[in-house]
Amino acid sequence: MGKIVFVELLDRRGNIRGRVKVDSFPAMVGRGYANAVIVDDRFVDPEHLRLSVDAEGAIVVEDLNTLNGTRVQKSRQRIDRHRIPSGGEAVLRVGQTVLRLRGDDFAVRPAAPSRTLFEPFGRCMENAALASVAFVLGLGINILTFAQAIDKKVIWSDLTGMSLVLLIVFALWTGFWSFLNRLVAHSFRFMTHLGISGIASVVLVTLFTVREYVEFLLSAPLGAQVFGYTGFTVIFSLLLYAHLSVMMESSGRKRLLASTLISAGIVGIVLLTHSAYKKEFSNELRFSSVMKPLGRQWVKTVSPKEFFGDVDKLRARIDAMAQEGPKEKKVNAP
Amino acid sequence: MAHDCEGGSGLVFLDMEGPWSYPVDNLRARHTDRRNARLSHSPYQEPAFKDKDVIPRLTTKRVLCVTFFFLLAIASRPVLSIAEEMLPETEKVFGKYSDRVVKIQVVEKESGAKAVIGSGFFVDPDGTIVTNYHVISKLILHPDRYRAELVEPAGTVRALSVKNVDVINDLALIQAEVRGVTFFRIAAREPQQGTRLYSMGFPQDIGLSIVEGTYNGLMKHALYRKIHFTAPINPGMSGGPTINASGEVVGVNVSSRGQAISFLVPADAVTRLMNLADTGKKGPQNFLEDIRNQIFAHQEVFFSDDLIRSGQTVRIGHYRLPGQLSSFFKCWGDSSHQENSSYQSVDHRCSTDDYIYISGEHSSGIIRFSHRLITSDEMNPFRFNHLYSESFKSSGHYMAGNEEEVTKFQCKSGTVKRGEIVFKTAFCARGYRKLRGLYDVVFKAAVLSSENSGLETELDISGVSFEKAVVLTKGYLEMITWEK
Repeated sequence: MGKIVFVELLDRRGNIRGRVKVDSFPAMVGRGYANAVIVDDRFVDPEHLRLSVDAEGAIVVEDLNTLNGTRVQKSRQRIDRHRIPSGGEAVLRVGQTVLRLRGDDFAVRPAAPSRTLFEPFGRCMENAALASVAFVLGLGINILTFAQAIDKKVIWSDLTGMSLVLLIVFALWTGFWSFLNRLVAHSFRFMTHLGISGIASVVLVTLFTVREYVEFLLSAPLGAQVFGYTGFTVIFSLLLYAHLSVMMESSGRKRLLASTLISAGIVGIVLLTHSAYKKEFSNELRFSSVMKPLGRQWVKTVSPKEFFGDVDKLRARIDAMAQEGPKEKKVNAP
Repeated sequence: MAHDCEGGSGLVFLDMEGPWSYPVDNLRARHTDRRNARLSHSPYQEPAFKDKDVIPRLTTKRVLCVTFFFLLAIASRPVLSIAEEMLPETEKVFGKYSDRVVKIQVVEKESGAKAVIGSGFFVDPDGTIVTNYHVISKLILHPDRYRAELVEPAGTVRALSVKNVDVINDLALIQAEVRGVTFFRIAAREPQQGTRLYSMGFPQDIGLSIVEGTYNGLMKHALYRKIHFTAPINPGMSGGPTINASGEVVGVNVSSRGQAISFLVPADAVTRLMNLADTGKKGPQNFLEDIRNQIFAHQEVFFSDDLIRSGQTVRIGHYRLPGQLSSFFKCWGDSSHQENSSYQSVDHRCSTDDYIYISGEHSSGIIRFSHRLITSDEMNPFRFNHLYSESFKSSGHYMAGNEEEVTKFQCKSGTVKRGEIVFKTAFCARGYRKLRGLYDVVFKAAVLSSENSGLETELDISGVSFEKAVVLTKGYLEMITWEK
């Protein structure tokens, strides 16, 4: 049985754009139509490469003294002859085209498990109807949340205005990801990204509601804050991961890492700004103030004695701050 | 007696009992004449009566001549008095007493520029000056950054040092290095309401001015005793005297409100401060200690532990709440029923009307509290609770202060159950850096209610000890009850 070689045309990101099976040698590669493999690249010679098999079964690639030459990918050195041992591969650059040569004895990796947790979810979002439902759900829950904050009697104008703002936010966010998708994978997949955004907004609103209930029921503003920031980091990471999964075909682990880093970075910046703001001296006071109509019977309460007992502990903290001494503003002599 | 000011600046201070009054610019010349006139009485006439040998030499012509001049001298005196009587009263007072009023400035040391301008007046011949504490407060709080100076009419300046302060009455005694100056006496009794008084000082640093007004008694229901004086007193006149027609100090200019409502520190507070034993030279730390002790002593008297428990209550909706706690609290109420609003609110606020000045941005000794009942028939419980939460979120306190003087607020939040009522509460406090042991406290509470109705209340206390603040806050919370 004779040797079989597969010549694969790759795009810049390593995706296969075409594959040609070569089973008779020597075989010619070039722009000319007489070649076994035709490369439609004006920087490639009509007859550019000759493929042959040596006595040991290795594939031998020879440059046919071409104008622009042949290079091994990631090397600037022109080559005249390149030998691919049995079971190996070579990635060559001819003109502006990348060719990958593999023999039929090339060992491929075993099958990977289902790539991500979101694969079924992503497939659902491929369905435009389901994506639309997710988006409408996301928009609706946001409008509902904003409607709770309106204390005026006539609220339709506010609701319309708020809905428009939300629509713009959704359009910008989804548009951004679709645009990236088009750049990377030559398709927009707008509805898929819209569906992902809708689901994410539902989850985020739920998170903030749960966070408020944590603060209300446990009377623990700090705990609620930690819960809120952690939850946001996780959900935002997953949101980015979902968008990236739709868009890219790189490894799932890398995508997850990138998403988590971006999300943690955003939360980090928010925390830093918040902490800088808190360090600033201010006479203004903001209290933990969440009150809810449900679950009053489960609210963790203390007696006045316990509350004022804790208040006494504040004194030590304040005295320590006062001990640091007045922060005199030094005026430099002119 | 009359004396030249030390240092030969040219300023002449008139004796307080001098029978004449002159325009200020002719003081030196006329004063010299008058002194000579006074001196001419006793020392030269005694030998004339003892030396009998001289008498036979008197001729009739000489006797007539002497008699004529004697009669002329007697006659001229009432004539001059009548002329003087014809001068407007304010002009007379100004001419007579203006030289006892001084301009005080507090200068920033690095730039050499004035930071505060105020007025003061001499109260003894040794250069002791009375002014407001608030005029020289920067010097007390930041002695390394400021110095105080007395500015004489000619523009020369003299150094001033602080002798004593009374922060409750906003008074300070300061010392100028001058001797034998003319000075004001302090009135021993309060004038009748309607008495015409004259206030002097340096408004806006545009020169010594006199303002005429009427005494309207002590401020009613005030925490700190102040005279209500109807006259337009302006900034820069702080620390200046307000005197009666006899030149006795009735009060010290301290503050104003509105067009012509002004306030004076009563004269007896000046007397008390002057009578305090002179404890020797004091450093800046001693003054801070004095101020702290004065505030503590004051709060023990006025902000008793039972202040809130023993005060009146007010009913708002189904709640009974602290109302007018004592006569020195003023309470106001209002309600809101706006057409476009889907809720109604009833507000009730009470506050002490006065405060202790500590620095430009910082005051002490104020108690304020406010209640707000919010109800809505239209909102769903979620919307109502959102509104209620937003209303509770921020404080309405008016406490100013900067980082040099106070720490940041530290807060403790919680949900407190007292009997059947469950409160969302927040207790925030900050400490004074210079006056250690004093704190500002903000306490806020909201009743958790299952209906579309909620009550929130806030208590703000400034410049009290921590223990006092906690006791008052506990009492405040205890006073909130629910009634059918």
